[in-house]
Amino acid sequence: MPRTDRLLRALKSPWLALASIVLGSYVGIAHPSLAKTIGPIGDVYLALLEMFILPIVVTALIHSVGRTLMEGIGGRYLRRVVLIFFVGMMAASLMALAVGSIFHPGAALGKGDRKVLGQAVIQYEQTGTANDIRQAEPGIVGFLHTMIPGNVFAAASNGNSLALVFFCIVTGAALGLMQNDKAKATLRIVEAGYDAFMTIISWIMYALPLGLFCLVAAKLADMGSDVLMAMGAFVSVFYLGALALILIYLMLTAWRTKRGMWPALRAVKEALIVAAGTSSRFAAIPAALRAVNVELRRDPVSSSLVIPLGMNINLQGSVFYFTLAALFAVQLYGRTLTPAEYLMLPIAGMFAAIAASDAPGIAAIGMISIILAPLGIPVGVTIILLSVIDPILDPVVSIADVHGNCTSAVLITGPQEPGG
Amino acid sequence: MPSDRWWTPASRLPWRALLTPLLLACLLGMARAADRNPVYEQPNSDLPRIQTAGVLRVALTQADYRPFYEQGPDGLHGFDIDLARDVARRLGVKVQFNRVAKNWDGLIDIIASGRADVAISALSRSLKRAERVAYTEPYLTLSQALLVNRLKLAELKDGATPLSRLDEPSVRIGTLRGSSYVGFARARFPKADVELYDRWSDGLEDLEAGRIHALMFDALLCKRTLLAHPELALQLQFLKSDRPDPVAMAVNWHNRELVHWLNIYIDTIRGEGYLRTLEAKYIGPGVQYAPH
Repeated sequence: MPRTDRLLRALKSPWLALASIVLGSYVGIAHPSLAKTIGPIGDVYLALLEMFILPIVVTALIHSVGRTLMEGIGGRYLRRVVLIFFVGMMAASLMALAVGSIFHPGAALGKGDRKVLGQAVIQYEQTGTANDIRQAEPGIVGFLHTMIPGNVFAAASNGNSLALVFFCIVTGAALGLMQNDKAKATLRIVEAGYDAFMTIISWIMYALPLGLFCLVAAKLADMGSDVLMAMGAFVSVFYLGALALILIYLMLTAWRTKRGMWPALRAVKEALIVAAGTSSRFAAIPAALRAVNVELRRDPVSSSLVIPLGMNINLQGSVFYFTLAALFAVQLYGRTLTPAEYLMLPIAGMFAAIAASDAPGIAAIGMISIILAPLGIPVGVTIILLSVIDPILDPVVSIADVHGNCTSAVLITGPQEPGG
Repeated sequence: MPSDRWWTPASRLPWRALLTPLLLACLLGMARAADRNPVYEQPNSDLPRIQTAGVLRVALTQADYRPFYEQGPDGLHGFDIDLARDVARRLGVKVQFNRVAKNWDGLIDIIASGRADVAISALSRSLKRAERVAYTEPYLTLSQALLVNRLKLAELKDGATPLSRLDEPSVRIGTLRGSSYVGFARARFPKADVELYDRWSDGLEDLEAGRIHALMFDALLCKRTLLAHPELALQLQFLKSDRPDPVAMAVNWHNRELVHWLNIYIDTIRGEGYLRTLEAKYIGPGVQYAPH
């Protein structure tokens, strides 16, 4: 029936999703109690979406690593993946250092702002949650330990996706190196699973506008607007830097795929909207895969390696966020950094972002201690302030993560072979 | 004496002959009573003395210490003032405040020398002070607490808890001179240096400037300082210590009846709910000591 078709297509329209984000923001700010009532609907939707994300990551990684190695192009890709991921994250960190050093968001706080922020800190520390955060401080060894778990199924059920990624890459590599019919058949089966999960996701996407509306409303209902005003300088600088990053991503995509900036944006718009609305880059994996494979017509085998892998370790938005937040804390406490400390910031920011990728909610923000603790800067206040304004930063971090990852995929992979 | 003599008319009684044995009997009886229970007869017994004088002399420190006592436009008010007035009312006497003492140690001098009957002045109980004055049971148990400079704390080497990180030779902890916290700080942080300040605001200034690591006092003052200047919370962290600060009344060792009576008084108002009313009115949540 054409009428049902039109309705279904309208439900999947990114414009409707965008409208529901705007409407959800309005409800969250203007009617917080209503927003909290509908919040659970959004949580259920996000859970439904995430239920199929893990299988997609597993099947995509095993299949793509296996196929890449089977076709003997592994080494070439590996070098490019490492190079592009590393350079991308360093560039994002440098962007944070640039905007942070130019605008000094942490030094710009007036006495009134400090009063408001101090009040938020007092309120937060009274509840005692601040003390729990500080325990989430793994060092480099702890980081390796989370990547290599004793029990991969326990890791999977605990949401330790970094460990799962490691497991899938090794498994995919083993299958790829076997070079026989059994391995080929197995990879085909894995590919069929991947296709099935992507189909399920495309069904779930029909409810995306409803889910985004509830999620965004509930998220904004928790935020104190006075704290937002006091952190205004930081938030503005953060948005400015993120916008600059997105423009750079668009330019790179446009140059690499030989199209205009506008078509480059249109290709990734669905992925970015899902990322913004759910504040989850994992939830945007299917949309990002579609953007790179279908809209931008890159080689699907290699992009389905780069995207799921990148969503775990190529977190350019998060690196940008952590570096800028660390710089904010440095300025807040009136510290001046030595050149060596400046050089250390991007590397520490990269580790913080990757460590945070598996941590739930506020513990993720706590990873900023990986950067701040070696500098001798107190982390408590920074974590509290960041978590209070998290609802308006988190969507942008996710957008930058997803867009940075799509752009990395475009840079790493070649164009689709004709008819492929 | 034959019993029929009692029925003789009064006018015919030999008065002089009777008076002498009567007087003798009286004196003898008194002497025997005094012999059995000598204390009852002491004219200097403390509670009757206060009640006879009609005034309870209550000692406070010179400087106001909110919310326990402060000078308002219409007289003194606060937790301890309400308590002192209630004590006096129940004893049936007037209350007279003595505000000579410069600090809390000065209060102990005043009580020990008998210049006031009782100190009700947010006074902490400590072993050292109990050598010189008698204490009642605590009527309030605050938590010992610190305001810690976050930057200075982050510079210290890692420890199991922030409290154990502060117990290091390089650490300087400030507190008020002449308060029980001089002893409390030395007992809790034996390795650290303890700096003494006459005024809290001076200590706060040094703490903000990072000249000391922490400023120690009861949880109430630490918390009130932050609430009055919330902008300080970005720099300073409120940290409860793990030890109690029992607040009690102090009385001269000779006034044993008064101590006994005050203990029963504290027990009574605890049972009546008056203490809880005062706590709700002046103290608020989150500053009392809770054993782990």
